[in-house]
Amino acid sequence: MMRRLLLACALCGLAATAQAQPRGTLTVGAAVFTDNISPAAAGYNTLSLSYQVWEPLVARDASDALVPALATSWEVVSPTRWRFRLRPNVRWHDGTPFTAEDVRYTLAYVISPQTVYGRKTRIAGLTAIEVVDPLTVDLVTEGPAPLLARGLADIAIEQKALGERVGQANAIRTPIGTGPFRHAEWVPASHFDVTANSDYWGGAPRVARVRIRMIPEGSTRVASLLAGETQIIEEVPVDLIPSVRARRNLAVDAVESSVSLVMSFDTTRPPFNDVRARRAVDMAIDKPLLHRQMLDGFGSVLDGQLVTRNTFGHNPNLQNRPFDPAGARALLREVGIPAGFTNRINTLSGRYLSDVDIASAVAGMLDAVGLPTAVNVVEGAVMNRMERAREQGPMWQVGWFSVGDADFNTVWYTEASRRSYWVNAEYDRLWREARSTLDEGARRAAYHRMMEIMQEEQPAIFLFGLPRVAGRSTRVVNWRPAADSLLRLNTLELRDR
Amino acid sequence: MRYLLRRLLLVPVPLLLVMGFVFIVLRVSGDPVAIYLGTDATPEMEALLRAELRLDDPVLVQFWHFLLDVLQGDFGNSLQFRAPALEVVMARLPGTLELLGLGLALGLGLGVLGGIAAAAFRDRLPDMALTVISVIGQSMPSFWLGILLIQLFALDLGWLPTSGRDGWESAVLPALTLGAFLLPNFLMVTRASVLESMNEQFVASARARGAGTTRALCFHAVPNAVNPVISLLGLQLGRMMGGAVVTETVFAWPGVGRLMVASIGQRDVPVVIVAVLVVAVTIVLANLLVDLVQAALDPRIRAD
Amino acid sequence: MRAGLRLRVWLGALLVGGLVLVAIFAPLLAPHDPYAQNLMMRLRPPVWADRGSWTHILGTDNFGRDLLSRLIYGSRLSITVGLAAMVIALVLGTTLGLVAGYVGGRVEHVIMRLAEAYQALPEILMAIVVVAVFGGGLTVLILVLGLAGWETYTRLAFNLTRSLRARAYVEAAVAGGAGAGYVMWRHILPQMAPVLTVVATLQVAQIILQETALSFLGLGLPPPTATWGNILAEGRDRLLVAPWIANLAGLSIVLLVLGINLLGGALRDMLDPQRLSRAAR
Repeated sequence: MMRRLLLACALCGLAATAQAQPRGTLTVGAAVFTDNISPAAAGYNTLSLSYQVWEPLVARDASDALVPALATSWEVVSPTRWRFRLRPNVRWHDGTPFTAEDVRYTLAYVISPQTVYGRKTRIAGLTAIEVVDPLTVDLVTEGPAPLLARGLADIAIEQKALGERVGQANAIRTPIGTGPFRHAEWVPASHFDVTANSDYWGGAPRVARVRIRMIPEGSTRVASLLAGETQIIEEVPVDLIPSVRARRNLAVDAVESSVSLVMSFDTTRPPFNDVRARRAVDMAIDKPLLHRQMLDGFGSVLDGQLVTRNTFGHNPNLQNRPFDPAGARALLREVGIPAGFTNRINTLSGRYLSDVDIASAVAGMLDAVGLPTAVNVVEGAVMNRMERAREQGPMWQVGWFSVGDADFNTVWYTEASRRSYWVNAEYDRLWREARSTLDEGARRAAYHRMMEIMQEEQPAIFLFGLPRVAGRSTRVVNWRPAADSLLRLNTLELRDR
Repeated sequence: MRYLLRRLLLVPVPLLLVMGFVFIVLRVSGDPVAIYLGTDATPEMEALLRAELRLDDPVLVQFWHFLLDVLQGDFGNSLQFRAPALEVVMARLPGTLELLGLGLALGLGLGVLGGIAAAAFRDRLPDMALTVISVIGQSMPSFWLGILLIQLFALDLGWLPTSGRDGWESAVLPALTLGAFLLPNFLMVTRASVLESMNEQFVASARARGAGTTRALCFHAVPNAVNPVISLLGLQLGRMMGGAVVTETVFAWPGVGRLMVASIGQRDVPVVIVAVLVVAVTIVLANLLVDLVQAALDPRIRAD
Repeated sequence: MRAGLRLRVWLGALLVGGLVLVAIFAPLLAPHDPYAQNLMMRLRPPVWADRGSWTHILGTDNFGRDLLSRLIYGSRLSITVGLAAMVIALVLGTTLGLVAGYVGGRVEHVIMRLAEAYQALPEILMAIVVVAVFGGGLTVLILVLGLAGWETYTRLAFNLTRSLRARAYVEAAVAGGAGAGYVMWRHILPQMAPVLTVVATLQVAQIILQETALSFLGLGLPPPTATWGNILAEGRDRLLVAPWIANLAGLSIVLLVLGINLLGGALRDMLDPQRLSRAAR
């Protein structure tokens, strides 16, 4: 019966695709224990849920390129003024039209000093929002802001009418957005249900219903995919990839993200206040071997620099320093490890793909060159406290997101971040310059130089550009994991078999 | 009556201790601000939140203010969920109660039945088999059992879902896991007390009067096992909650246990405190009930 | 002694004794360094499986470490943690119970109310809070697991002391001018030792299981420490591709805990069951 129907549809050709009704229920196994669906929530991963219902002005696509969303185009009118033309005929889920007033309302509340908003600093420097006409908004910035459009991709536009009626905090209880799906049910720690918005400006989604289930345990997540309870799962643990691949009706998809996994040093205390000790650690780690064994060859070994190849600012002239245990040993002897010093790598568990495994393997490699190293697995809150107390050293593992532009992760090594142990005046100056000019060439040159300084000074070991590895039923077509880890489900199709 | 009153008056003491302990330990050990605001918070945002949470006061002062709020029924807002902590925990409570209820029903029901059967067939095959099963069950890490159950019933046989809470099918494996965790103790205690009373005088005399073994078992020995089983129940509640945390984690079951573990990681103090309180109140009340039932059954305690 | 009971004692003693010997002689028995990584030899199956080899009899783990060696060394930590935590609970709990039962009055009131209050704490949850906060070092772990169980002994020792105090020989000793400490130590404690031994034995098994539960929740001893709980928890993530890791660790835990339970259960049955069950109430 279904097959005949499909055949009939196929015969109708184009007309049928245009009218295709959303159908089927897609269940996604999400990896992260998300607490909230509010666009204001701090966790970046929350966006994966909020962006089913809400949308930004400018969006990233699955490869981190900027694409129009609620704004159809944008231009720089003067160095400190950007003009955004809004998409006409967009309706909120309650049927009312989307206008420039909604944009003004949202952005004004985001930048207000009284507001606690997770990704506020993404649009730092925005000072005023001026409505030109119902479909045009001018954004005024303090200085030239090359990152404004990219930053806006992390800010969901909320409905003014709803926010004013029930208050900002209560608005998330009855979510109304413009996105491809309508909010149906949110059960914290269990699932988030949405239904297709057939009036979506980008065309109705192909699936009628989506359930995003929270399954933080990797093996449980894989089991749910194997058992057919989920059709897509995020983050397949590396060692379980073969068990997914072995099934004919399942597939593994991987893309390289813009997350750089690095190990930072406390450069203020011996022995790592000596650049030779830091370099020795770099030489002692066989990154290609780790990449093959711990990441199954997915993602990439970083090119001796902080940013991934797909990030704006990547310096193509730099390379990963080759593995050289004998050299490392010699350098360490030259520096002299202080008596009683035990090296320690602090890491979170389950935050990044294979994080504890990678840290443990690195510790083993450092042991092998005569630098006894322990791994200290701590939880997020403890890591944050260590960060505040400046006690994260001697080494700690962290993954920095660039979401496509070097500015977003080079910041962590500037004095302005209040987090870096390593300070370099030239690096700081270049960083400030790069974020306050609209000249792309000048920005690129600045980042290239910054990458050189970092390779020279080695404030951190640059390990891997992490992959996003997703498992999928072959019934799912037209979908792949995204570099920024957000779920983009509106064009996805669920075949019957 | 005085006994009841005395017991009731003591209820707040453990609860206060629990709250103080959790509050101070969590506040001293981790900073909720960074977690709540994300890595790129502005100093103004931090200052706002610190003021709101009184983070710059001494921790005892913070606790005092927290207690004053609690007395007015306000446990504060969850940092992660941006909703009243009480509401957040209460939303998960049904999941945990369902799990505990089913697990307890299985563990208690099968444990008591198995214990009676073992006693009835003392030293014969069923007794040995049941004893072996329960000793092995007692020795098995419950999450390993859970994983093996998933492997067998969900992956290999495909009869039951692997995880989540969606319909009765999804409750079977978690309930089995938790039940298996509880069953051995109930089985052993039932067996021991049934055997004990079988040896006692009045059962022996009942049998001498010609009552069959079954009769002696049903009307004399089994009622005598009620008391020890109830007191075991009281003792097991705390342990059960630990089992529930593990079971909820294995099966991605949305309940208070998993919420609490996650909230500890987030230093979401209001949620952790409410969750621990809910558990502690349940245990205190259940123990109270156990005491009362026992007092009703055994007049000596009342006189004490 | 009944045949079943004798069998249980022997089996229990064999398992526990064997594993304790393994723990003591771990360096002699382990074929490899339990912490030596070899990333090229990851997840090799045991010798009886298809790709297995005699070099790694039980196969290797995620870092190419020899599983047999890790299990052998793991027995040390599991037994140490179990015993040490039990001793803490036993000493603390018994002392308090003894004092409460002997002295009575206000002291009794405070101690016993404290024990009651403590009983209302969900033990494992407290352990989770403490370990999550202070990190899972060996000392913290032992303290936490030890402090979780003291009130069982307090109630037990309290009830036993009260009933023993009324005995003629104790009253005679007190009347003869013996000090409180002396009476407790010489007359009361030896009397309750058998009961305490049984409870303590069974508690070791409980503690070992609790340690594995903490490891499972990621709150056990930090990696790369080889505890059975850690090996089991690490193996769980790879159950679908390398089931032998989790299953062999699980089996080791079951054997040890089974041995302890058999032994403890048999001891319990050998003692006067009525005294025990009454005291435990």
